[in-house]
Amino acid sequence: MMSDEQILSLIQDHQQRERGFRLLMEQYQERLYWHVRRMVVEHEDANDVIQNTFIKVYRSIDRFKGQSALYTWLYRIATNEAITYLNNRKKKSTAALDDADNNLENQLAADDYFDGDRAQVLLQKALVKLPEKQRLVFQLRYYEELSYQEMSEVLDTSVGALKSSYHHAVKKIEAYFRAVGSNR
Amino acid sequence: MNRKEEIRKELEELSPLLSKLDKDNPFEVPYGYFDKMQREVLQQVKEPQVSPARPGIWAWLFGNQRSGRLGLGVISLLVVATAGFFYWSAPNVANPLAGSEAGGEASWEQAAAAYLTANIDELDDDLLADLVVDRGTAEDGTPQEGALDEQLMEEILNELDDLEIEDLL
Repeated sequence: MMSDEQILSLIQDHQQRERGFRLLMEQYQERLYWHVRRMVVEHEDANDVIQNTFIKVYRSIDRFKGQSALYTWLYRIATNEAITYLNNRKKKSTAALDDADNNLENQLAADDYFDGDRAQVLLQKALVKLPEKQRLVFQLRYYEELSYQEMSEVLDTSVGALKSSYHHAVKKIEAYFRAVGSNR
Repeated sequence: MNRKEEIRKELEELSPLLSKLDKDNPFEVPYGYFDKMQREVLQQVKEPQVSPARPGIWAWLFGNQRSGRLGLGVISLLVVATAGFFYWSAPNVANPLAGSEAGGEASWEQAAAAYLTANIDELDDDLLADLVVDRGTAEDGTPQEGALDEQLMEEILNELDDLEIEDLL
């Protein structure tokens, strides 16, 4: 496995640029894809977002100055792409007098590539009911296991605000589990 | 304490219920998806970016209000220049025979045709005959090669009497 520095030096070499970019994708595509997939839920949507993300990365990699880790920069681009995608979808849903969260939940139910056990299904349903920012924070902490400092770089939010968002997200998910459990 | 352990403990403190859940990924992807995605992305970034097309002559002339006025001016100038060119280069229809002496056989025929067209209403047989006879004699009065003799001239004049001049054209 190559280090980020080695990959970046390949990309900066015009002759090796494609090879370097291929290595970058191999190294990060799965992590970024799952991050995006949890946000947008459906595979086809995640595919669009992740492709746009990598195209953007390819076109702007020369502007990456190494002030943060490469993967936090990649997460930042992927997250912004996913948020833009969700906002566009929300506008369309609002226009159709639809509820965006219910829409995500319906997508979850209809997704052919979703096959979790009951607890996982409940967790995903609880997640799509969270406000977008809390959902993002929970995912980056719970699934991606980023430190608060890294999350701060990705989301451009203070560490204190992130801790608070995570706390609220966890409490809301737990409340959802208890509510569903008591209804059974 | 490593980060993984730190995150687990934090969650355990916040929600013992959630900390007991497995972190299995409930989502799936189609078989071979990541290879396919990688190929598609590489294909897209390798395609040359289309540079904005240079504006054509019409866009340049009429792209906006200001250039529209410029375009109309250019076109007007071209129309005037073209008309002037044809006007000055066309034969003098009012007096087509004026230049015929200096010109060759072809220019004489062209001048005659133009003259006939322009003066069709005023043309009479005698004038046409004079024209042909004049051309058929040299300055000293001797017949030139190809000049019409008097008998042939009479035959032509008789035929012309029977015909309308429009039929000849």
